[in-house]
Amino acid sequence: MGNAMKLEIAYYDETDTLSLWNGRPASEGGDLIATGALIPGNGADNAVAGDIIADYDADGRVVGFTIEHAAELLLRPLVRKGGDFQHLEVAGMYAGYRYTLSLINGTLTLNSDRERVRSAEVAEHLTAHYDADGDAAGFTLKHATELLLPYLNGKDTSQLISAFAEMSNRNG
Amino acid sequence: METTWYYENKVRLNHPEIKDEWVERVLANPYHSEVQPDGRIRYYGYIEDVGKWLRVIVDDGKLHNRFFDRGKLRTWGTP
Repeated sequence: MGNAMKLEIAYYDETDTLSLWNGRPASEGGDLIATGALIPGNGADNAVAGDIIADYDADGRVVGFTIEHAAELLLRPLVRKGGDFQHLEVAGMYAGYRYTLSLINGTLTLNSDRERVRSAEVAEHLTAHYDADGDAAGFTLKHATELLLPYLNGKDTSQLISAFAEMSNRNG
Repeated sequence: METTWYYENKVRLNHPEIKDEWVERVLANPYHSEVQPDGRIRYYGYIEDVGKWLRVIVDDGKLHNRFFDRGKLRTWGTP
């Protein structure tokens, strides 16, 4: 643990893209939240999702994650943590694929619908979870609120916070 | 083709082994293309030099991402 690689966080406002990376070059990538069947030659109207991409090195180890539409996906739960809530769990469909997001005492965990069988550290604070095929099945980011909010805070959160408060009131 | 800030400043660093000519080849003659729900378009092509499928993602006419798709050899095999 003492030799953990540094976590590099970068946010690209132009495309709402968040990158979590340990700095090692990747040789492959694959969808974390997107496991639907794709049919070659089925035409350009075969809609798919793919909003979190895991990057792997040549040995199949995850070197980082790219989170598309990051503010849309993460800002509301992270902001909620900054309010009266210490614990949040969400299970739902995002762009057509199931995911589970939890935030417990600032630790963010995102899991796809694939069963995780092992975990390994990617970088300081960031752990990847793998399924039986060796593909990423999710990740855990410690201190997510303090690490990510400074990057995402440039986004206009007022509508998200307002919508979330409304939803919270409805759900008691 | 224009590129996003993310592509220029991150993707090139993150996946350094991918050649621009491979990206151009896939865009010019994709094996398959799909429109994502967010409007971005995925193009796929098989790169024989390395025996992998290359996924190229275009956002609003700009190159946004490209990487060798880990799952495609399993699901598609080779063309």
